Amino acid sequence: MFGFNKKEEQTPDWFIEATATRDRWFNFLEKLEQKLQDLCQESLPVLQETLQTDTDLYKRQFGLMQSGILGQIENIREKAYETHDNKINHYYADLTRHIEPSSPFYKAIYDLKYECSDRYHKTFDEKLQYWRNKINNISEGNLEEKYQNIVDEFEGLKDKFNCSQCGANIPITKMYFITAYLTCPSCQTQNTFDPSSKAKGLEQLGRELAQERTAHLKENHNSEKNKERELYHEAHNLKLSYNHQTDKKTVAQKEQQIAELEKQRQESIANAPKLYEIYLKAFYSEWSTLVPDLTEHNNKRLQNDLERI
Amino acid sequence: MFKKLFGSILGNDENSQENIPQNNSMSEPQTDYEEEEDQEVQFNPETLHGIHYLEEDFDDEVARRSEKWIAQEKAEDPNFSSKDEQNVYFNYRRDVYCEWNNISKGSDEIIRFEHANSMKYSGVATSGFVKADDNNPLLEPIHGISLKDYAAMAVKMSSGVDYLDVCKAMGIEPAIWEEINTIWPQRMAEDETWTVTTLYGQYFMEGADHPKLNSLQTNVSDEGKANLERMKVDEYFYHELTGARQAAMEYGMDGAQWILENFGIGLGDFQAVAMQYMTERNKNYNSSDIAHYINYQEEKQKEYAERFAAEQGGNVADDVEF
Repeated sequence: MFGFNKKEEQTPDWFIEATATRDRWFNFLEKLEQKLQDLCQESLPVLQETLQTDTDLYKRQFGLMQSGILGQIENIREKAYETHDNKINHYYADLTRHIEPSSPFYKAIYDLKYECSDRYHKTFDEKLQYWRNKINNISEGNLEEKYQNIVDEFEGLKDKFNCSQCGANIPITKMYFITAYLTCPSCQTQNTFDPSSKAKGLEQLGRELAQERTAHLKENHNSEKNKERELYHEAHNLKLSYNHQTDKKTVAQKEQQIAELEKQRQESIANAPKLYEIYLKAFYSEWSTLVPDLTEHNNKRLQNDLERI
Repeated sequence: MFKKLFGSILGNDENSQENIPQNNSMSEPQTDYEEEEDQEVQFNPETLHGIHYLEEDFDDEVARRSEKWIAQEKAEDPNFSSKDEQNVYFNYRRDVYCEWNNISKGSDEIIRFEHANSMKYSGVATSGFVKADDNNPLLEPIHGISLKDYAAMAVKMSSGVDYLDVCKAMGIEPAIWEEINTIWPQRMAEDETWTVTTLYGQYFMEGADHPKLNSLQTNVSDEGKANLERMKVDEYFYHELTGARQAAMEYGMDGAQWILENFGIGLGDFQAVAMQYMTERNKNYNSSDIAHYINYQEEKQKEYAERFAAEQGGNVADDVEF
């Protein structure tokens, strides 16, 4: 109907339209990316401030706001996904069904389709993930300071807690993060020691701070896992590149390169669990150092996690 | 630029109580059990093994095939790991189950069998199939509070009853509650079989019936009570509210609070019903039913999302057109 398979002497109108569709798609994604960037750049300082001023132990106000921003990011992702599915994939699939493989535009249509797909799956998705991570990873940023405040508070209190019955001093021997009954060494009366709201957040704060202190080790593991995927794709692309190659020397060279990449990939596969083990041990050890009461619990969890690697 | 959005998220918008879509436009799920009912094989209702063979013979056959394969693989691949071995066992278990019970591969019956035997074969508990084991040290009561008590207390608290009243009814000091509320979650985290967590979920589902806590009533409206009862028996309604709650959270609202304000159902009651459906789904696994209800929930979530977006002045990228 569009004269797809007429002998093409000049660029047919349908191909001009197919090219324009690609340009329109790129333009559409750029606008979405701009919206995404504006939203996140404007939200980040507001979220940061909300996190720091939210006095609730569970930071619920911050959590709601963060969830709302992530919802908008998800809405942008859905819009791109649905448009790609309905307006790009279907459109180019329809075109290719009507063109003879012998047409000089056959490959060009596939190239347009792949350009659109790459623009979406690589560039757009990467940006979306970047901003999503930024919003997800907002932290109060002063965990060390907050932890030190709890330690200072403990140091100031530990010798100043007195029995409600006889007034004798009851030493606070550790940083409690839940209410505890302490027996007076003089009159044996049971006293209730109620930690401050700051101290009650110690368990969670200790976890976050341990994560922060060992983040570089986790990153080492993630990089090793990514490296394995990159090596795999590099080898795969090399394989594709000599599919129709007849020159034996070139083929041999490429095969050697692939073998080397595979060797590196196997090393990476073997190395990743070791790096993860290093991270887990460091993380739980750090957490136990920060919150000694959790040492036994953390040792059990470490063993469980190690068994799952 | 995004002030209206921030305003809505921060709760400064007053127009949020109208136009709740409730109609159920989807047809019933196309459950097709006939083929399964026609089968001649009879099954043990607990293990779902066919009764025409012994469980030990089944396990032996799976081990025989798996070990043969593993030996071959190990000879060729020095990196063949214990996880790979587990996968081999997993696949042969499926094969033998299908062969011995005249079941087609990919059938939901395989999933039901795996759920029923998850602890034995995978070392992991599945909701609906776990029973309390008196010898499990992780299930020892803490200061006399069993996991069942703990779950019942949690249901009451998350349904709006003051924790001091709950402690009083159970006869414990608030400080003891703090300790219990620290140790039970720690045990859940330490338990690699997920038994404690799974049992907690099962008990949470039954929590409202604890004898010591029955007298503690939440301030639930008649409409809330009616909605809760409806949610227990009307799966569409449950999925609608789940979709609504999810949509509310995506628009920066407290989903649980929104459900309470609009339907009168507290978080604890809602979660107990959620556990009820999850357990039911595990026990009677049916992939077409699951897909049907997930689609319905997504449809409803979209409807509510559109409504919330309209209340907040639209989504940030509404003006971007292809």
